[in-house]
Amino acid sequence: MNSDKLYRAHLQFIGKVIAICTHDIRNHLAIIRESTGLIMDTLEFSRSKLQGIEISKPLNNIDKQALKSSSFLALLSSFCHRLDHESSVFSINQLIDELLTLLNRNLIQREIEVAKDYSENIQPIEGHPAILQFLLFCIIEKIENKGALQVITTDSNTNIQIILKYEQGLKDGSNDLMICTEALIEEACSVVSAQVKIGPKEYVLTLNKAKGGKT
Amino acid sequence: MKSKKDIRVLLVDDEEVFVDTLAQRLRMRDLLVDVVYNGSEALDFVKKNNPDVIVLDLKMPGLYGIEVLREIKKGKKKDIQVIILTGHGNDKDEEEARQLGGFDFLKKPADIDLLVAKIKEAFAEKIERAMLAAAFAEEGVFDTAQKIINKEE
Repeated sequence: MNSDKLYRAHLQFIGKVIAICTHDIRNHLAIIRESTGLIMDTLEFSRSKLQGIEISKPLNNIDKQALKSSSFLALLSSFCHRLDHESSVFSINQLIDELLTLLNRNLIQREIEVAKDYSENIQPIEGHPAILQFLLFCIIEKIENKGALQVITTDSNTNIQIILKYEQGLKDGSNDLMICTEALIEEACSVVSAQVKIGPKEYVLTLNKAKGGKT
Repeated sequence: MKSKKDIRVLLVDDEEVFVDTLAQRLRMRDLLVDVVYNGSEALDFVKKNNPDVIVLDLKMPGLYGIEVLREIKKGKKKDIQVIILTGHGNDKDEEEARQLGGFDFLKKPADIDLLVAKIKEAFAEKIERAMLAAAFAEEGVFDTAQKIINKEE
């Protein structure tokens, strides 16, 4: 990429294409779901119980899987639409959940077991959710594979904290495969008005409500 | 009060397989269902018929669902209830649909029992409004209230 503008435009393009695809796929899934639903209805309404027991199980699985895929795509769609606007109102807990769900496959592969402990009363804040997700991704990427990761959110009058506690170590910064550099993390922090403190086996991300936006 | 069989539902969606299948499932649940495949057909249908509830997709070729909703709500048959059922919907679409008078906003694929419940709720609200309007008209309350409002203005 030659310039920030081009890089940004390209990212927006990717977001747009994925948003379109997810819409399309949700339609396909809706068809699958209605079709399996119709077969189940037919069995139920005709009372062919014996057949129903045999056929219902796989049909239920298809139905459940389609619903799971649909929920996943809904998250992906919302993730992509975050690129539509630089700043917006968002819920911290939902934002973290969205990212963790989208990264779920990767976290399983890395053998990182995630536990969540969210403060339930955090009001939505205004800020840069896409960059905050990017920042969290950078931190998670730095954590070594194999181990537990606890994600905690807390709320006070002035700040919201996101604490990432891990039992394993941190990766060597010279790893070429990592997307995020220290400079990028610093830049992302400044965009979302956050401070990162690295403690023993934890990252504490403090978001200033006044700077980051109003609740 | 009408029975469930008397609730007339119009499904509007360009995904023909989806909407035809959904129509069958709703008919199995004793609803009277018609289907059209785009926004213009929906407006034509509404001109000639009186559905109680419309289940409307947002992104369709030609006329978008939001435009269909806007046309219905500013027309003579604005009492028809509209439920949005879409695979696209973001928060902005939902807000716009509600501001235009949409009854509810569901995302595809919606649970059939939830959809039937929403249709029944929308229908019940429509009947309630019609009964209230009829009662006001009969007692002349509406006219009197209108006169008072006009005077105050």
